[in-house]
Amino acid sequence: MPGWKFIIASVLLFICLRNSGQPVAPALATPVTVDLVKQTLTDIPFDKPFYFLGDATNAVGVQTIIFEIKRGRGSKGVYIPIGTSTVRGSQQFICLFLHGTLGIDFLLPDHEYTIRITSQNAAGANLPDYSFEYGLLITSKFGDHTKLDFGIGWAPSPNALFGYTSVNIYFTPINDETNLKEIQSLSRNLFLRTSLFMGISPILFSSDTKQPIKNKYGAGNFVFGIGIRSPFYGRYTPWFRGKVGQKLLQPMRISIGEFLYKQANANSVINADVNKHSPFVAITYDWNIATLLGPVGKIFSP
Amino acid sequence: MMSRLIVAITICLCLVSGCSKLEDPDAINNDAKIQVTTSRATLLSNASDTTLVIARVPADAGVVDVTFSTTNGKFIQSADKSVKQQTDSLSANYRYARVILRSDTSKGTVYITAESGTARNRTTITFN
Repeated sequence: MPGWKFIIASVLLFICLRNSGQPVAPALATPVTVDLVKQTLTDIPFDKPFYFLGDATNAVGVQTIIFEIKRGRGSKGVYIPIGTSTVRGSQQFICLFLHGTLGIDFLLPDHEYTIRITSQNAAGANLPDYSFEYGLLITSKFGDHTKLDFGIGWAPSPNALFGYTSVNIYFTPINDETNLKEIQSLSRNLFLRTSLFMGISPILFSSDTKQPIKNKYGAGNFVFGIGIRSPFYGRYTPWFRGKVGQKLLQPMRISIGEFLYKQANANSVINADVNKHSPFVAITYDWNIATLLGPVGKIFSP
Repeated sequence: MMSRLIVAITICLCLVSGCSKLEDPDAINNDAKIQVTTSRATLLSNASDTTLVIARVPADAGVVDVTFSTTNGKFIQSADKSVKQQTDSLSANYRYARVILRSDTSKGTVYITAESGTARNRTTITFN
């Protein structure tokens, strides 16, 4: 089911288009530029709302444009309507891709789709010169699977409070611009939020042990585990659902894992430190939180 | 499929997870600490009587320096009241360092200390 805000956005979009004659771009959505003459589209983002935007100045006679989509490429599959757009006085047209069009929230990364664009004149006749099918693969980069974070962890056994930074590896590409609140699917939420991480803890703030904790490696101690991104933000949480919540709570992560460290040997005659491990919990933030902090945040930029 | 994988990894992590027992110096038994013994309990205070002094550390400590010191008499190896020796012999679960203490003309209780790093222990003998 589409989110209520998107329904309102669609209604507003419809009203704007009817009343002003000027297409209005929805907030937070990415424009996908349609060129009817060259029959091309610009890249479509994954896990994010988008809208088709174009200029029909050079597409003579085009009055109505029908947008449809199907999974996969080629002849297989059935087209599902996205929407119909009317060319206004400015010759611009716009069409929003809504939640649930294909039974999914947004287009998925590394999946193939075909967009069919049918242009019609004022009489409702198709204009083949400006109609086309556009097969596309929503591509992601390898880097989209990994996110860096930093945070504070607490291990109960040595009662140690430590700082660490880690690499989170996701089972699906992550688009930083995705608003997790808009993701309705439970399984998609699971993929977008769950990561495996490993990292290094160079800072030990405090501990409560008879023998001091020491670095396992030169750079610090080792941590690994499972991270849950944005545990306090999304359609399941009732608080901070606005923009502030998205900015502050979405980059947050609760992590559980194992803290591997060394401790000075209890026997003072033995110089060799002893390997130890303890489970830990942590609160971390994505490195891109730095962008929120403005000039100060540049200090934290990786 | 992927959901199951995530759940499986979480369960595995929980299974392997656990706390190590922390290092506790108070829980170390005497056998594991540095020990110092002498082959004789008394020496004649004639400046020539001798005893073998042995320091013992756990084998895990490896080859370490042991500093012997005495309140009276002198160690033959240094002709002084202190001497540093390595634990150069390994037997069973222990390593040993040895020195020989020669008495002087003083009489009474003599304290002999063996020290390695921050670990230390002492024993006494009597010069008669």
